[in-house]
Amino acid sequence: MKIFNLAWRNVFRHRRRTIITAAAISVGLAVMIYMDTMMNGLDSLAAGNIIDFETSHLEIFAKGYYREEGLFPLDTIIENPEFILQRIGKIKTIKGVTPRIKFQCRINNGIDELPVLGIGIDIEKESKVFETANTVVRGGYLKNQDDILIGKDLAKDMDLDVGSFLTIITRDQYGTYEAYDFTVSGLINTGHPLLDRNAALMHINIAQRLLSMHGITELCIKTRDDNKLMQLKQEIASEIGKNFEVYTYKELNAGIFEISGMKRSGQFMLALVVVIIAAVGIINTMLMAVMERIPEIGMLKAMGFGNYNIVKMFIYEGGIIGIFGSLFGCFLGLLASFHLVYFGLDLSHMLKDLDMIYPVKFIITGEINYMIVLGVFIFGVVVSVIVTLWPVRKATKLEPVEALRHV
Amino acid sequence: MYLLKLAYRNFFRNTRRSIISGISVAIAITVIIFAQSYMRGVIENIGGNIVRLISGHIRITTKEYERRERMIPLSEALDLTPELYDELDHDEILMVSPRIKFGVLLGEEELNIPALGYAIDPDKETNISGLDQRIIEGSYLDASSNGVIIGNELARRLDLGVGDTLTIITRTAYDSPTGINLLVKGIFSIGIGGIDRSVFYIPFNVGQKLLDLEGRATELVIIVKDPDKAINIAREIGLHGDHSVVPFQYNPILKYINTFSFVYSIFYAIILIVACSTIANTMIMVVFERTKEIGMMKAMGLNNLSVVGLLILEAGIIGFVGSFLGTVSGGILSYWLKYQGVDLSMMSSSTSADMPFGPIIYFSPTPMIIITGFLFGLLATVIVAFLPITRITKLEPAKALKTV
Repeated sequence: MKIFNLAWRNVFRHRRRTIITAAAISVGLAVMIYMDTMMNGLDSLAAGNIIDFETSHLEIFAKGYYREEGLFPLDTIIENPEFILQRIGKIKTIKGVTPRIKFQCRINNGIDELPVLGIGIDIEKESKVFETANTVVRGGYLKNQDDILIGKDLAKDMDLDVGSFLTIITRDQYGTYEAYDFTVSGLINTGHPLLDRNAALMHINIAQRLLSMHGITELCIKTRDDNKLMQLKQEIASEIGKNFEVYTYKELNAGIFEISGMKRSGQFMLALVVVIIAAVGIINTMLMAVMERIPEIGMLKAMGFGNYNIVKMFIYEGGIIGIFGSLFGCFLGLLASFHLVYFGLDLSHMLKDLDMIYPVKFIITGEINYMIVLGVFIFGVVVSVIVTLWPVRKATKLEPVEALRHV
Repeated sequence: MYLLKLAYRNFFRNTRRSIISGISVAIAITVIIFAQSYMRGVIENIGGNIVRLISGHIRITTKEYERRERMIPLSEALDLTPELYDELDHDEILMVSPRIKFGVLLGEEELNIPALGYAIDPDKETNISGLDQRIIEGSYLDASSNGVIIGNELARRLDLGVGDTLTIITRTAYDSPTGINLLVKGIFSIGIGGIDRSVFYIPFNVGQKLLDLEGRATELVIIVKDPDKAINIAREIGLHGDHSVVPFQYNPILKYINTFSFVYSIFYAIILIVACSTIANTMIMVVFERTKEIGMMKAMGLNNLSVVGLLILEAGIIGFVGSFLGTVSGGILSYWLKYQGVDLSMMSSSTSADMPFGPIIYFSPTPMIIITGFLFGLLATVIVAFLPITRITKLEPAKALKTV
C-alpha cells in the first residue's frame, strides 16, 4: 500500500506529462470503441433488415432448394406446407410462421423492364413474422387479387405510383413464359435495399398461379428468443425430417456477415496502430521517469528497497497512467458512441445511387457493446503496464552507490 | 549554424528519449503512407476496371438512356451515324468501340437467373477490356460466328460448358420477342463477383441482329491517349444536346470512393496527433530539465528568438529523423506491395457488378504521397513542440539560473 502511495505521488510530479501520456491512450481507446459501436450498429441494422423483411430468423426449404445466395430454383419446393406446420406447431418458442414464394421475374411498366425479385406473401400470417405491413408509406397494403406492393425507390426509378399498372413477366415451374397485370396498391420504405429497390410483393396465390405451382418455396419462422436460435433450428430439423432443410438467417447471408468481419478487423487494425503509438508514448514517459529519478532510486535501494519493490512502484505508475487514460478513453469513446446511437450518422446523401452489398441504407446508428468497452479498458491498462516493464529494467540494474552519485 | 550544432548535440544528450520520440512519429508516418498507397491502389483498381469493363475513358450514350440506365432501355440506343464518328475524330482519341448492353433472364426450366449481355466488337475489345486474356476455358469470341463467352460463375450456375448451347430469349428495341441459340465458345474469369456471376459477351453484329438495332448501339466507349485528359476531351467532343458524354472520372462509384478516402484523413490526423503527444512530452521535459541552462544562455546574451530557435531545431531534428524513418519504411512497404499485390479475392468475389473491385490490390504509392507524408511528420512535430517551448520566452535569466 505504501508503494502504491509512492507511485500515486510520483505520477503527479509531472502533471502535464502524465496528462499528455494518458490522453494519447485515451484517444486510441476512444477510436476503438467508436469503431466497434459503428460496426455493431451496421451489423445489427443489417441483421434487423434481414430478419424483419427478407428471411426472418429461420427458413425451411425443401431438401436441395438452397444451393447458394441469389438462386431461386422452382423444381424443389415445399409441396405440402400443412405437414410442416403441423409438425412444428407444438414448439413454444416459435412466435410466427408464414409461407413465402420467391422467384426471379421482370417488372414492366409499359416502357421499360427491370429484373426484380417477386415475393408471394400470405397477408394474414405475414404480419406475425415480418414488418412489411408497417412500412407502407403511400397507398395501402395488399387487398385486391391484382394488387402489388413495390419499394419507393423502385417506384421512382420506374416512374410508378399508387394506382399505376404494371406487368410481371416470369417463367413458370416448367419454363414457360407467363405474365400477369397488377395495380400498385402501395409503396413501402423498409430501409432494406432489396425490398426498396429490387422486389415486388404480391398475394401468394397469385404467385402460385403465375408459376403454375401449388406449393411454396419457403416457410419463414420468427422466434421469441433469438439467443437460442441454433437450439430451435435443431428442434425444428428433428421434427420436419429428412425431406426438408432449415437455415438460420446468418447461414443464408454468410457472405454479408463475412464481409462485416473483414471490415471489422481492418478498422481494428487502424485503431490498434493508434494504441501502439500511444504505448510508445508511455515507454517514453516511463523512461524519463526512470532516468530523472536515478539518484532517488539509488536512495530507495540504499534504504533497503528491493528490486521487486522498485519494479512494483513503476508498474503502479504505469498502471495509474493507464487506468486514467483508459477511463477517459472509454468516457470519450462512449460519448461519441452515444451520439451515434441517438443521432446517427447520415451518409445516405453520399451513397444514394449505389447498390451496396450491405443490406442497409446508410443512416448509420450505433450499438454499444459494453463487454467490448470493458475489454478495451482492460486492454488499455494491460498494455500500459506491459510497456512499462522495458524502461524499468534499467532501474533494477542500478547499483545504489553509483546511482546516488548520478547527477 | 552554431544553433544547429548545439541542437544536434542536444539531440544526443538523451539519445534513447529522442529515438523513442522519433519512433512514434516514424510509426505514424509509416501507417499514413501505407494507408494512402492502399487507398490509391483501391481507386486505381476500381477505376481501371471501370475503364476496362464499364465505360472506357469516355462513354457516350443518349441523355435519355443515361437517365433510365438502370432499366437498360434499348429503345434509347444511339444512332451510329457517320456524323457521330466525325465528331469523334480527335487527335487524342485512340479508339472508339460500340457496345450494346442488354438484360435477360437466363436458365433452363426451373431456374431464372438475371444476366447482363454485352454485344461487343471482339477485335477492338481486346485492347479495351483485355477479355481475351481472361479466358480460362475454350477460346475468345470471333466476329464472324454465333458464339458467346460467359463468366465462370454464371456458367456454373447454368451448368454450361464450352461447346454447349446458350439460349437467349429477350425483347428487341421495338419490344417484340426475340431469341437466339449461341454456342458457348469460352468461359472467362475476371475475379469480380458481380461480373463473373452475371455477364456474357456476344459479337456486336449478332447483338444488333438479335435486338433489332441495325446501325445503333447503346453506348460508345472511347479510349484516349492520356486518361488524365479525359475530362477535357469529353468537353471538347461537344456533341449535340441529345448525347451524354461522360469521362470515367465522373463515375459515381469513383466519386464515392474519393469522398470516402477523405474520411480517412481524419484517421491520419488522429494518428499524427497521438504520435506528436510523445514529442510534446519530450519537449516539455527538455524545457523543464534545462531551465537552468537556458537561464544561463539568456544571461550570456542569447535572445528569445535564438533560444526558441534552438529548441525548435531540436524538435525538428527528432521530427526529421522520425519522419525520415517512417517515410523509408512506409515507402519500402508500399513499393513492395505495389509489385507483390494483396489478394482480396474473398472481398471481390462477393461484390456487385456496379462495384468492379478486382481480386488483387496493388498498392500505388506516388512521390507525392511519400513527400507529403514526410513533410507532415516534420511540420506536425515542429508545431507541437512550439507550445511547451514558448514558455521559455517568459523566463527571467536570474530566476532561471536559481532553479534547481
